[in-house]
Amino acid sequence: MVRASERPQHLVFPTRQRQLRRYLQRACGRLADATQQNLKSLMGRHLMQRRGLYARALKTNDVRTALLVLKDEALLEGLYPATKIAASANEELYPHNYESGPPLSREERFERLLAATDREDQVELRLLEQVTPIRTLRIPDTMLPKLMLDMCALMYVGEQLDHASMVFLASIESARDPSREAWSLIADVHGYRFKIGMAGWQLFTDSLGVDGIKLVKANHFGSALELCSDILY
Amino acid sequence: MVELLTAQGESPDKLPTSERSAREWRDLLNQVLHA
Repeated sequence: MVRASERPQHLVFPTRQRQLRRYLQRACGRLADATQQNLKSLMGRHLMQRRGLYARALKTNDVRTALLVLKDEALLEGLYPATKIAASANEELYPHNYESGPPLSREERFERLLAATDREDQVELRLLEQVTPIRTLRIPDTMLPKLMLDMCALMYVGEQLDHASMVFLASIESARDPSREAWSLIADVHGYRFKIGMAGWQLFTDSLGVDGIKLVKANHFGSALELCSDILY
Repeated sequence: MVELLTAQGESPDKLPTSERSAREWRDLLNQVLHA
């Protein structure tokens, strides 16, 4: 028997929530590019300048200016809630009222968003949120669930191919050196997970009234999964 | 396999089963279906 602490990583069962988050993080990581401007230090400089102005205004008893400085600092930090609500599909909501549109293109903002997400740079993320318009799109409200179902199908394929590969690799290793029992266990566990996964997918798609195999074929163009299903199931 | 995993210390309510797998897919879908 293999104790839990000695168990190979392949036998740990991640939840799908974690897996989905990991996929999203990886997708961000791949596309992220180093940001050209150091917005964090820029933000710090602007805050320091405002603090200086605020101190000077208080020193001269200029409460009105002090209040304006405080308001501007709060705006810079995005503390005010949005006041305008987009009324139609064509109208956009700009948190900072940029009359000629956001100062960065959508592509620039997207790349910066990915990089900031990757770096977990909260300051840049907040700044980006401030310059990103909020749009109201007219889409059928069933579109997102449909996209999620397609994403589930792709995740299912990835999981199943991983289990199948592990069965074959572990079986090869086990055949090479039968004394290493862990490989045999790994093959068994992944074979079991493959079967469970397949039955679970069928249960899930049946509950939706869709053909699970057809759904997979619509999202994945390959033959290995079908062959593995014939062999392992 | 279930006995084997349980013997290794896996908690019985966390063992992979087809029902559990189906429920996890459903939970993912529900995130946008009931949002």
